[in-house]
Amino acid sequence: MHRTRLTATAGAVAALSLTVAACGGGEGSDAGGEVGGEIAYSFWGNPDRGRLVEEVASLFAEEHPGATVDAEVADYLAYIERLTVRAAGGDLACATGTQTTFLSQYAENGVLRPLDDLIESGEIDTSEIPEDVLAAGQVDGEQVMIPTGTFVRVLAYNADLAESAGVSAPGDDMTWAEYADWLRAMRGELPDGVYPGENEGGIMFTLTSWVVGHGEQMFDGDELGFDRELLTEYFEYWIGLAEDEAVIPPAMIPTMEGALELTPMATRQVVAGTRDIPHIYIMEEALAGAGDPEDVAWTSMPSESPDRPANVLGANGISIPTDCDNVATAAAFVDFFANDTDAALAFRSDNGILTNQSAQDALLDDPETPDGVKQNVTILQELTDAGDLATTTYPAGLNTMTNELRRVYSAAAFGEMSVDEAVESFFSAADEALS
Amino acid sequence: MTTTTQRTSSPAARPRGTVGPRSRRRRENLAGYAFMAPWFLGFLGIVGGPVVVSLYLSFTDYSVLGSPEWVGTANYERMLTDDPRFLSALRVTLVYLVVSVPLVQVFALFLASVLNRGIRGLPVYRALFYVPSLIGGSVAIAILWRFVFQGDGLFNGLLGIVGIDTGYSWIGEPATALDTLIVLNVWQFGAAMIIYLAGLKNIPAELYEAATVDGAGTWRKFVSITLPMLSPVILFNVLMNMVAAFQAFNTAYIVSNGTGGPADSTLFYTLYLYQRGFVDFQMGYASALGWVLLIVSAAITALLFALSRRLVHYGDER
Repeated sequence: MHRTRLTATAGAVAALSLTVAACGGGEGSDAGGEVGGEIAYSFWGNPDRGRLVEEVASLFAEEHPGATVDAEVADYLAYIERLTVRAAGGDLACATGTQTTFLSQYAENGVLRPLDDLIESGEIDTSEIPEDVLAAGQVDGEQVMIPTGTFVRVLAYNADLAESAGVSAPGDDMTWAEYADWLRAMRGELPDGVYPGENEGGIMFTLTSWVVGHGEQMFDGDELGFDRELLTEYFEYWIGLAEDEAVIPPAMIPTMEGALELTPMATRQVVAGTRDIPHIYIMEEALAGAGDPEDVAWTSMPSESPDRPANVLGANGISIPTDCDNVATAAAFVDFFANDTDAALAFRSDNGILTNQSAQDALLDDPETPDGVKQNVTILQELTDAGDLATTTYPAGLNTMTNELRRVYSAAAFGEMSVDEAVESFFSAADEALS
Repeated sequence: MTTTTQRTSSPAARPRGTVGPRSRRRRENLAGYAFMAPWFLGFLGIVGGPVVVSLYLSFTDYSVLGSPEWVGTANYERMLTDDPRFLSALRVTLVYLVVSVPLVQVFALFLASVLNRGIRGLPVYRALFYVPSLIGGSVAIAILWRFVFQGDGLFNGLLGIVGIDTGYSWIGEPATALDTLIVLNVWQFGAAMIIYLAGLKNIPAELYEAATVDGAGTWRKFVSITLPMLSPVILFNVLMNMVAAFQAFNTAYIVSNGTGGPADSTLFYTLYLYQRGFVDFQMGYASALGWVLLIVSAAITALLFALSRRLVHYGDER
């Protein structure tokens, strides 16, 4: 009995591998073929998102009699695990939900089909998607994902709390030093237990904005695009703010990692922190639900120069795997999801702000569109019109670096590792992950 | 007489249509194997085969999405010479095991002894104490644990009632984060308690009566009767809890959001294995980690069995 359980533990990894090996792959592609038959669309999210996708699938079936789409939803982490196993076995759904943060991992291993021929033939229309956003779905110059929803990192803050602390609203062209001053100015002016800012030294998106705002690139081919000095400054910046109690102490960092509604800013323990655009409305709702109906405002991420926007853009989208045996229907579904106005209204921009600009306008015009969705679309349009978006590459191995950043910053913040050691450890992990 | 009996039972002397004992046994054995076959095939396919494959993978560089490449003992060498997080994970797991397993036994045995005194409402208490074992390992409880032990959590609230005001985040500080997970494990003492209770009920009452007549006190009876008579049960519980401690994953994963933080203080071995396999896509290295875990846990189990020859008392021993 014991031996069986122990053996099972040791072989768990291999069991998955075997499962993977046992799964068969598809037969190839039929681009330009007839749209029909059944395909699956797998994506991450909650059951509510599943119902919205089913609505879109019904509309697609009406548009394409004889074609059906089976919606497969799983929560994010479970989805990623399943994606890996299914990809290894050549068993991915013909329409597979992907994201810039993990797209390269699969594209570079030949799991995802380049979609350029489908775009050229007109089977997938991308004319309504801005170039910058479309580029987020490219790996090594090939379009392997059609971005259907975007998320942009901005600086969010509780405007009512900030006002009560006697500070003015932060400007759009703030530097990181000015942001630190703004946070420090609130110390002692806030209610007990409320901190000026979140402690973001371990967050990859924030580091990305820091690097981009300093005029460097996150990645340069197979290595990091910035030097150790810049990362040292970054760690020291956040550790210094924590020592001055201008951001939450390291022991509270885990509270930033849970459900969005329970993060310090959403529970009125913090005034400011970086967030994706759609999070702003969710936090307002959380505050209102807890009896604190306060205004959560936003501004651009700090940058060392007004000419270098640091609001980093990412995208969710749909890819077609190499092994898909019904490419024509998959392409038709991707095109429908990305361009059809009724589909856009039905989906309500539930996974990132819709990338299709006509669909964005339709959402704004529709009286039934929820306020939060309208707010998200408006913010994105403002940033797009102002040219205030930054793009970056997301290489394979990003997850490893994301975890390592969080780990070494935590160790440095608690004094269990020197800043130099933390920087060295991060660079070492990045070298391994990127090679 | 003996010769006659042998002849009578031989196949040649057997009447037509009847089956001899040996043949019957063979048929029964075949039937037994037939009934076992589904389990056996499942074991081979789902456990045995993958275990063998994982041994092979542990000598390869395998990213899941590509093909495995043979690297010899490189994964094991790296683990032992160039991976400080491996040692951290091993240390965290051993501390968790060495502290929580004995504590579970003490709590479980103490409460089983109390419940064994024939108190009223025994089934109710038994059920109440068992409930944490049913739900303690769940995701919901792990999430709840975060809220109980964070700075503004329930635990500090209770301390505040008795005049100890502290905003200390027990679960957010590296010095105490693992302790909160040990407490969570100890809280799930119910299963061990039920087994101890059954063991206590099997100890003959006359042993205690005789000891009482001889003037033995409560402590002497516990040390000289209860512990020896219960030693096989203690061995069983320790082994089961030890194996569970080696496999602990859920709570650390949920409480630390899969990071093993803060600062690797809750980086259980299985969590590190998971990170290497499913976050870093180093499935070959993860397989090697799995085999080291198997070897370490098997060695400790063997040590326990060796010690049990001296320390465990079986009633039928001569």
